Amino acid sequence: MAYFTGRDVTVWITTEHEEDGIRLDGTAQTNQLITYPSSTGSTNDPNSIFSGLDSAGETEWILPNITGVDVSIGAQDEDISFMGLRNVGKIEVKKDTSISITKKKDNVYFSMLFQGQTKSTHSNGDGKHGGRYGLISKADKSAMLISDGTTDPKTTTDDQSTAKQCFGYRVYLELKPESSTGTGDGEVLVIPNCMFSEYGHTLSNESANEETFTLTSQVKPFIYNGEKGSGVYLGKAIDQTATSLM
Amino acid sequence: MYPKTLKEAEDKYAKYANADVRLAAWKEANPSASPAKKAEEKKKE
Repeated sequence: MAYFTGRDVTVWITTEHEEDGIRLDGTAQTNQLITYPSSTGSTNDPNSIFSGLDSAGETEWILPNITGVDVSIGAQDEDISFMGLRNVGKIEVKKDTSISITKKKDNVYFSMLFQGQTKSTHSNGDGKHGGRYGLISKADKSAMLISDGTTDPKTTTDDQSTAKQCFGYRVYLELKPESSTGTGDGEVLVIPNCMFSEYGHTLSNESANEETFTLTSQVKPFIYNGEKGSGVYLGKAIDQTATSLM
Repeated sequence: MYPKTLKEAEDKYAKYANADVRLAAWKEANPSASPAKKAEEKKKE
């Protein structure tokens, strides 16, 4: 486990779609999650929660008010013993990465994502679910929907003609930004295809309310060099996961 | 990267099954970048 305080790192969370994000629609008790092409909406839209991959690295989309980030990187092994051999084979089955983010609670976005409702026309189910699993394409590829989690990750694809993987969310943990644009000497831990697995809320009468949520992924994370062009991450950092890695 | 010109938008959305819908949404969000709007602005000048 590695623990970072909020001022040490910069965090972005995006969907696994190039362009579509999630926003909160409605007011007060009618709040519902909807999917929308984040880039065409204003980045100053106060109700936008996540953007698409194309906005990763943009200053406007930094996850604000973070107090702590806890990263746990591991792998699930399978033990294989052979007669006549003393050593046990530890065969890696898959990676197991989780990231817990604690932030000051200044809106209902993450509680809505974890346990809220989705507008029925923007859901691939009946809408009585949150946004834990990211986006999924309509069967006819006419639009993206918020997944209800009934489709397995590998079959969760987007609306491109050659469908790409788009299960869950992608987390960018920037440990060190590049020193100047294009130098690529930064360090960013990229955790693709995460899903929301836990959510907690701390109430206090003498300090700011905080929320902690955990995102989990079994897809191999990677380190990116932090290179940006026009203010956004490039190349592998924003490429959707290959089917063979899911 | 978010397309800034109509050409960029057309190139980017070509790979989507619903390219026409995405392009229409882009044009709506970027009226000043569409050829019709540009012609109108030129006329005003």
